[in-house]
Amino acid sequence: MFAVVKAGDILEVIWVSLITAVFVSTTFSLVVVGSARSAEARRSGNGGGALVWGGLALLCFLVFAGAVAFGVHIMLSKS
Amino acid sequence: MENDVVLWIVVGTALAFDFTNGFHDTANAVATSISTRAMGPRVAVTMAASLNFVGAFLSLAVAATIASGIVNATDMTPEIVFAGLIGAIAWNLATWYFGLPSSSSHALIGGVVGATLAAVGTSGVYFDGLLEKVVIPALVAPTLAFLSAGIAILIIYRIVGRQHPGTVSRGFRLGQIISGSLFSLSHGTNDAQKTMGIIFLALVANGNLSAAEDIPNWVIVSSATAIALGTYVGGWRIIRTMGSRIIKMDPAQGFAAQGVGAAVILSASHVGFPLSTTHVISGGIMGAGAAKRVSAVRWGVAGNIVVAWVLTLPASAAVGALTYGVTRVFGTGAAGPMVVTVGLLVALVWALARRVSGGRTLTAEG
Repeated sequence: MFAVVKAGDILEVIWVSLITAVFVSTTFSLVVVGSARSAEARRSGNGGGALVWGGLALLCFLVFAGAVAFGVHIMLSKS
Repeated sequence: MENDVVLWIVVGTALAFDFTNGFHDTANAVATSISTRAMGPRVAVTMAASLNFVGAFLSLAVAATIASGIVNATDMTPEIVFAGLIGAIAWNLATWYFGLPSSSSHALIGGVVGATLAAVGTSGVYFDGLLEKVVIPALVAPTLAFLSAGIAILIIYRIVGRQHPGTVSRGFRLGQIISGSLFSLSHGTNDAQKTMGIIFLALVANGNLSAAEDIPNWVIVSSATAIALGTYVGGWRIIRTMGSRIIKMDPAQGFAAQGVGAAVILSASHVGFPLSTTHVISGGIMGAGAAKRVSAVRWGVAGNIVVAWVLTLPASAAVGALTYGVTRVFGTGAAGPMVVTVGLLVALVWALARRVSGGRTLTAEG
């Protein structure tokens, strides 16, 4: 079976997909948690906490957006 | 003149296939967003249709057509291409009627293979190519998406577990807008190209173009329009199956299935390994459901979907071969394709008259 399809290609698809699954779910979950905790801290008057959690949410969102942009780049550069 | 008639019938049939492709595969991108209320149904299909249209213009890598490496290109005639397209359209309509998600690409490959077998025999088909482009991807795609989505949803629940459910749902609904858009764009850059390739192949075979020329603009615009229109009309039966019949989805599960699905497809695109978006998103939905609770997945419905996947290639091949046989009864000219086209249009009108929209969707019980 692997004589037909390069085994390396399949393995690459598998490990890249698994790592991306972990990466995407972690970063976006942190965006959600960071936003929620930041709003919570703001409501309770904890400005510092709001800033830290908001910063985490923003950073993770930028990383997530970067991954999406990389995805679009792959899509457009395929031969 | 007669050759031109066959050519235009092939072009029309290819655009009809493109329409069914958009219509059949809309569910891949939008079903999870609709079922978790990340987007309203009409907004979701409009977004998917627009991104399918845009995507068709963004990537024009059509030199390698859908059937290259699977059938011998020198054996191709407009009649074989026509019969293959009819096989694919028939399978797309049959699976849509029963609300079953299946791969339009595999249906097209099956149709062309069946017509080639009928016209040329086994020497016209590269069985290694079939294994490489259909069988192995059909095993890898759903399994990988199932595992990846399962891991993703466990991580998501672990991280957001202590947050207020309403906040979490709102957050992941926003995420689904991004992941659903990525999916639609990916579909547009892939699937409209198949039709462009088929039309280009027919134009070259008919002597209207040389293989070295660029794809004419009218081919690009008409293919993009056909897939976008099909997407906008929306295959609501399949959307229902994908969105709520396999599992009852929450927004986090929808995001995991779509996000991981997009990641799997893009990583496969990166190394040139062809995966079906239908297989990936279906596997992702099942994985996101099973990781929460195995019994959350309606395995009867999942089983019906897998049966449809297994049947895609032989069923569309059988229709492709039969169509080729029927066209040959009327000789080698335009009469055969014209008779088949008229017959299909009559069947379509009959089906509409019987109010196809009232037909049933397969369930675990049925």
